[in-house]
Amino acid sequence: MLGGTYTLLALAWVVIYQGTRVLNFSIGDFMLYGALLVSTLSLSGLAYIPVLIIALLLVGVIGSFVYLSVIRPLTGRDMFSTAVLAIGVSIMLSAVASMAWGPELRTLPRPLGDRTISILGTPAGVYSVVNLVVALLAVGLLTLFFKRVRVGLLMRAAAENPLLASQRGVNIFLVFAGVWFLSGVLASLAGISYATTSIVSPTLTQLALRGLAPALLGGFRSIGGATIGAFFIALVETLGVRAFGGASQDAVVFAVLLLVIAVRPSGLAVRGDARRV
Amino acid sequence: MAPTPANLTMDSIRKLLIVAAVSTLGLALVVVVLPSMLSNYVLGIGTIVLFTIPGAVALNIVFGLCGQISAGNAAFLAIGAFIAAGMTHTWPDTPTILVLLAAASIGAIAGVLVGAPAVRVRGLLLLVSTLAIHFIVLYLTERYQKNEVGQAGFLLPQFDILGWQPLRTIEWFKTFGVFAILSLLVMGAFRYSRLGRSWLAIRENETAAEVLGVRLMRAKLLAFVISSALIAVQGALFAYYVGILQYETFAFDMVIQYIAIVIIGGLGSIPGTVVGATLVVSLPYLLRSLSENLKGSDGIAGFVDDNIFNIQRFTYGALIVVFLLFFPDGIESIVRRVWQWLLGLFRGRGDDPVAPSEPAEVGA
Amino acid sequence: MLTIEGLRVVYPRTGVAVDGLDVTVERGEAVAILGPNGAGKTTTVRAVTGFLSSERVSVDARRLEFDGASILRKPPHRIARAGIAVVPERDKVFRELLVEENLEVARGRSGDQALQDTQDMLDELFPILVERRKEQAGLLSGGQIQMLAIAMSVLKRPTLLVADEISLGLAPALMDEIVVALDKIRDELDLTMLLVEQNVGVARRLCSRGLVLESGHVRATGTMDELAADDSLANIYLGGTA
Repeated sequence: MLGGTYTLLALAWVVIYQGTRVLNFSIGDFMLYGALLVSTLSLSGLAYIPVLIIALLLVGVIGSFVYLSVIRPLTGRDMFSTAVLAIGVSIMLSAVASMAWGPELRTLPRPLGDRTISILGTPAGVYSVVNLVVALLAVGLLTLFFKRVRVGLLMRAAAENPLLASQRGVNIFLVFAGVWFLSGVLASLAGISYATTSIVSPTLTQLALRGLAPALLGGFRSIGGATIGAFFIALVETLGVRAFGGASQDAVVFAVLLLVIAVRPSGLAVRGDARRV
Repeated sequence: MAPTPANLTMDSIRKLLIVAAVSTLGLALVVVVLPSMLSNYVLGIGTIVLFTIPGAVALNIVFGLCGQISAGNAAFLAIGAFIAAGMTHTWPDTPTILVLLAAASIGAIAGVLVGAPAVRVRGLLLLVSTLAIHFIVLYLTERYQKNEVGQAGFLLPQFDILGWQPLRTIEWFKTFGVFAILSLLVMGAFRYSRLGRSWLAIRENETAAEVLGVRLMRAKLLAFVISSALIAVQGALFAYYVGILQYETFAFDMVIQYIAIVIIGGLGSIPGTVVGATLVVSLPYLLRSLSENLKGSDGIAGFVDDNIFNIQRFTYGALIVVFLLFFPDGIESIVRRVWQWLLGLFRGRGDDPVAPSEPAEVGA
Repeated sequence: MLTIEGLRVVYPRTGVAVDGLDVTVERGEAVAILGPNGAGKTTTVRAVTGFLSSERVSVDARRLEFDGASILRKPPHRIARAGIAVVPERDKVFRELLVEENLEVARGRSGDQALQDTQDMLDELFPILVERRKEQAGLLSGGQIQMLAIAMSVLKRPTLLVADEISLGLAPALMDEIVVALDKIRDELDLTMLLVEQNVGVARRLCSRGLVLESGHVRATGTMDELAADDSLANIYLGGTA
């Protein structure tokens, strides 16, 4: 179920945009790194769960690192500049990945095997189900995190008004680094979960761009909205592929997005202004 | 000096003279000097630089001057190119001029179609909308190509305007050079016009601009239309140049390339566009020759050779990052600062701080 | 404990906002900065509380020190940790967060007794905040937001409280309540205060002395009584005497 992956992706976008007002175009690469890391680490003989955790943490760290080194100095610039910056980073990351891992396609380990489960009468690959469950779990955990955990609260505060948060003693740079960490984890989870059901290939990053759509549909603000948007887009994409063939994924998803924007641009509740100093 | 009619005329004449001088200089450079000086290889790169410039100008008009975030440049380029390809495919004897005009007009119409809704949104939504346009157009061109001619792509006839039929690199260099200079002139003309000033005001602060009487929708729409017409013509020219047109050329990478050029060069900067285009376009070639020089030392050369493509990409990304971090206002700000320092040495008062650094001004 | 000497702030677009500001606030004092709109009062607050550190603004001073350490161009959270709290003029609470979440953010991580005592005192002074603690801060009325903002700023027992236009937009009765509360807080916590005010009346009630800013320059200094009695100053700003 594509929906699961899109959910995670959308969340990754939203978290970063909400938290730090940056459109993180590197999310695609975070996805790829996650999957690649799992593929490599699992060759080392460690059990699956530790491998998974290490991969997630590593990508999270990369995310924080990207923020601290590259994004933070540009605080307060307009959105386009930071987006382009993220694109630049993305290019660097993908080049490194290509150099380090090479162009071969890989598969990820599937500890649960290739069974098919029957859900409400329809057969589904076990990992499709797992993806879904994981995504929903993530949604739940995230919501809880932002509501109950202090760090989550600080993130919300810093997202709304960084200056005020700073004046109340919060080190917003650390908080933002945390936001990027989170987004990295989410993105890599998305990458891993998707790649587990298919293969690891550099085209994984394309998914990330389409992940923008559900984030936008949900208004780029709420976890719930992003989730609903994700399933909607997943549906759209599947239908589109069936109708128009595989290459139309991007076009279909974005066309639908365009339609929605055209019909209800304000209804999406996005704070649409380009932020400038 | 109080602006009296006499002063104004003197001022305008002076400006006109500067413009004429610079463009003649540019033309001379492009049509005469450079082609005779440079090797064919460099001319080839130069040709690419030159045909990238109008596209960068177009993006500069929409984004650099008017501040509208648009990821649609590759899409409009594709539209122009495929119009040319389609027309010459269906009606093989169409004169080139007509094709170009058609490209411009259809580009303009497309600009209106895209622009009309686009002017209603800002920032993030605008970016995503134009991104959507990109993917949709790309898909449509793919379908069109596959339907008409298949994977191989469209074949275009010889470019022919009033008997000028560029075939060799050097001839294309001159052709694109002329067009590049024309487009830079267009940018200059708009930039210093009232429309251009309202664009700049919009870029600074849309709400404030509106309050000050700028007709927001009209100005933004004009920016889109002019920009898309220009870049569509560019696309058509490009199609003629490559001779074989395939949809894959217009991938998202191209969008990024143009954005990088505009940001590196400086938003709305005329010399910046030239410098930015040169830098971004020639980078892969520079890297290639660098790696050739490294071929001596074994271990490194082997690695570099195998990964040359990735190293290029990496450096490209790094360049973007470095530029944005250290020169967020682009090259122009550096050039301008150096220029104004120089000016300061020559005379006490400064000139119009908004004017770009025109070489001709030293003597004036 | 707060020493400002020769403060000069220049904004990139609008030019010089403050020029040559000198003021010293001793421990336990309450000093007012008065003046009309655009005089540079808020800019001074910003310079002191670190707001300007990330903008492309030029901030310069011969001395800008708190407790002997320079706070010139330091980031806000550093200044907050040093013991300066600010109640800004706008955007003073997190509107999307609940009231109790706002306080939670301001609370920091310490959970000692002093914090609890302060919280208790605030609960007593602003019972409405206790009542509405599960509501979104943005839904509170202007006066209640002000109370929340003050509560947030003093929760960690700062040494210096800087307040920008505390009385702005408040009905006289409400303003009264807040002034009384602020007085009590000041006594309880042994606060030093720097108040920016257009409303001379409020300033007089809380502060012992002050200075008048106009167009970025200091026009007069003295005790509140001296300033209030000076007729020429009444012409300088439209805040009026209360």
